[in-house]
Amino acid sequence: MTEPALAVENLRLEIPTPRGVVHAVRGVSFSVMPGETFALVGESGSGKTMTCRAILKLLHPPARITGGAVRFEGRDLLRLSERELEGVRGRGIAMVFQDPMTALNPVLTIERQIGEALTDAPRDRGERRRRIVTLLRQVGIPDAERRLGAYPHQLSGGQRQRVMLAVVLARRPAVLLADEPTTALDVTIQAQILRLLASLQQQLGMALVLVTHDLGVVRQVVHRVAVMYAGQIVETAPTAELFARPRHPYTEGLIASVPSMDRSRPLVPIRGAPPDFIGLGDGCAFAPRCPLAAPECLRGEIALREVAPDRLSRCLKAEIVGARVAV
Amino acid sequence: MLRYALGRVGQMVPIALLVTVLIFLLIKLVPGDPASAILGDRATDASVAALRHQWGLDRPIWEQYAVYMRNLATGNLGQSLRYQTPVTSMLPRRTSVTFFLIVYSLLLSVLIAVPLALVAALYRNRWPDQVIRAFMALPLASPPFWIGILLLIVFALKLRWLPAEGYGEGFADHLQHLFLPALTLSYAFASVLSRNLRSSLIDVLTTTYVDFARAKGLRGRTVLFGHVLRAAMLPIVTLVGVRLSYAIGGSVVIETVFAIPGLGSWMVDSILSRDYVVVQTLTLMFALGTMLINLTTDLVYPLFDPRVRVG
Amino acid sequence: MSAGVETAAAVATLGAARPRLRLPLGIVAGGLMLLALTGATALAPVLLPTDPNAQDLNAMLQPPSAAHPFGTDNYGRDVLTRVLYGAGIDLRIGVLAVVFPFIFGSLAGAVAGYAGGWADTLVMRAVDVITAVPFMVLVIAIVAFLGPGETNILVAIGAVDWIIFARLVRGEVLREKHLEYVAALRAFGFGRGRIIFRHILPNAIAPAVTFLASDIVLVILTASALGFLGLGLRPPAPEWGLMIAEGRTFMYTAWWVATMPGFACMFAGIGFILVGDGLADLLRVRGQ
Repeated sequence: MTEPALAVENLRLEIPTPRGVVHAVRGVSFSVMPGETFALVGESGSGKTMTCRAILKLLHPPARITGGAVRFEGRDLLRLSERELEGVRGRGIAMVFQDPMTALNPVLTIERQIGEALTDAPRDRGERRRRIVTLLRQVGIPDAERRLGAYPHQLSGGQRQRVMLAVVLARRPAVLLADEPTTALDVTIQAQILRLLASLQQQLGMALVLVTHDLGVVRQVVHRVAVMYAGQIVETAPTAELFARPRHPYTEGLIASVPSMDRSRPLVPIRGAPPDFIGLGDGCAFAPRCPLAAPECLRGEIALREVAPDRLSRCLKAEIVGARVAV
Repeated sequence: MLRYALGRVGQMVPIALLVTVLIFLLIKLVPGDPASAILGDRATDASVAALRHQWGLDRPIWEQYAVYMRNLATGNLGQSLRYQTPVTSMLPRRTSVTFFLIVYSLLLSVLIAVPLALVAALYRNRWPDQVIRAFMALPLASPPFWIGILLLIVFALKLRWLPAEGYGEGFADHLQHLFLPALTLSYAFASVLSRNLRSSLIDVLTTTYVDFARAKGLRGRTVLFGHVLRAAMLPIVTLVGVRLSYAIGGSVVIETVFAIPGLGSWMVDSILSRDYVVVQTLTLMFALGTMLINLTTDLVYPLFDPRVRVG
Repeated sequence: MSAGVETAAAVATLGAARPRLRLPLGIVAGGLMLLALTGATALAPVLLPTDPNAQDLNAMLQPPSAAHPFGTDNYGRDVLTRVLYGAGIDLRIGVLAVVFPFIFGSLAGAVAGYAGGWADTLVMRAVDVITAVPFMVLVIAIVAFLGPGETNILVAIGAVDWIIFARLVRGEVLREKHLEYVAALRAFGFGRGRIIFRHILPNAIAPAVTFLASDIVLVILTASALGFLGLGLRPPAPEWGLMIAEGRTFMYTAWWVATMPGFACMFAGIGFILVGDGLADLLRVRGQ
């Protein structure tokens, strides 16, 4: 049994607002093995991005972490000082962000933004340049020497994403948190970026945590999936099994609402709307929208339980879920 | 880039011409006959007639304008009746004094506003922020010349740390003498600047690229100075262009408070001694100077913001 | 955020718990300040029976005391009385001077924005030309040629200040005229004038109204600067700027003569700013 590269335990996060406290992350736990691709799936607002930011403590006030632990290389990251955390960021755990348009500083050149990420950067400027050019080539940016003096607005979205990955490569982290890395890109570019991610993983032996709401992406590249709803993980499973037979009505609904290429199934959206995070009370947060809801679903705290080997679900009716889905 | 610069200059020319028309017409506001008004007690029928002829006041108005423009073009800016010297001989020295004062005050404004805005942004909505914002809001309501007098009383008269007036000799002396006036002028601009910078900093602090910079594992200080400040400073350049007009206007009054021999105090002197020609010329100088500085800030801005550069 | 709300917020956080008000704290605080000032000014003849110009050569340059809370000046005149009467003058000038700029500027801006074409070019060229000269310099120059006095100050400020309102309203009208309801009105055959005045202008005028308070402060500061330079009202009028100028001669020995009027001016300024910013917040919230 190898050690997980990263283990999140019971993470809790809240955001005080004038209207009340928003419990954005309510007891999230998962672990990722070295070399594994793990996906956090959910709608916007499910808490998946917040979870990633919390891992590296990159939250903006007034959001704050109120509980839990993040275990990496034998330490709890949440207990580290800012100084110690700076040592972990980038080198141990790296993060790339969703919108390449806004993720690079518009007034600094590409060379500068990659250069500052180089570990043990050589003193000689020429040598540094060569390293950066090599990195750019590795992430598939053509004509790398000429791009050094470019500014982000002069590159395409796909190229900016590649630059971000070049920064990651420069640091050689053990874990990469990728927040919707393909959402803002064209479909054709998406595939290229995913391939690039896969090859980086292989090169570095990196664990990859992929945050996405795109099930198509999940199906292609991910080993294990955790589905999030209203700040909690509601189901965890290996990818193929999740799609073959979901064990939570929300997962089932998600899969059913994705158009399938052969038009064999009708498009069925999930009825209702995501919950208001302020008034969350007892019971299952999905119950108001759930076709299987029963009185016991509205009471008490419902825990994640193992419903099959390597499969967890937060649904009291997990056994009967998915029996009707034929994929 | 060159094309853009030429374009901007081209835009400026017609406005500059219209400004000369405006200023030319201003002197017509003088009730009664300007020539006798200027000569005042020294007026005789003959001298009034001579002056009127010299300015072409007996000719139609567009001819007067032509005379006026020709005078300007040939560098004949008139004679200061008060000082009995040509305007052109006094102009360079006086301009350099005012220029020194304004640049000094802009620098002080930036030196004051940047740290305050930084603290306010980093401690957003907590007490340091509230105190800084309240303090910086005061000058918007107070007469700048009064603030100058307060500073004068405290620092020059009571504490005797700084000279109370004048310009001094030599660069270091200038710095000393102009400190209080520049400080007075800078307070108002620093107020606007710090408020603007604080907004800009708060915006930048919450951007994704700052998050990404931190996610790279960069030291906090590196992120702050290398990324945050670099991006948040842009508004300073535009703001200087916008607020410059008020700064120059303020300098006229401040020069009077601190008896500084610049363009502003010259203008006030000339007004009080009814030296209308000089007033007219100085107004024109102020206008042209403002337009030039606006042009410069427009052209300089792309140096700071690569997104705006052409080609 | 704006100056006044920040000041109000600072005051609020430094103080005790505040009651839940329907209006923003800024408007209430500012309104109270202005009310106090105008009340004191209006009641001055009753509360302080001394004539502001009454000289008492036995009590020259007295420091603040019970008899003279703000001290006396070089003619033995009571500074407090003069400051209060001065409030009447400066507040009056402040309010009067913005009337023409507000009305004319808003109209010019509305017509320029809606009609476009040569009307727009005309107005905007005028704005550009006037903007080219620094505000204070142009006002001073106009007063220089017209001569000192209250009327001339009003004329000079009016001639220059309108451009701010013109720009504001023009921007709003440009935005409004592309909205759907305007197209609908035109399809119904409503005349341009009616569209501008009855429909667009009420919607477009909000930023101009909120700016009014700041403009009054700008005008008061300008008028007192003119007074300070000797281009405003003539002595012995108790105008604040003039008083500060007069007091400047004695600032080493009798600092109160030059400083008290300034405090009053600052007080009035903060009051107006608070009201203006509070109004801005109110209108902004309502608009949403």
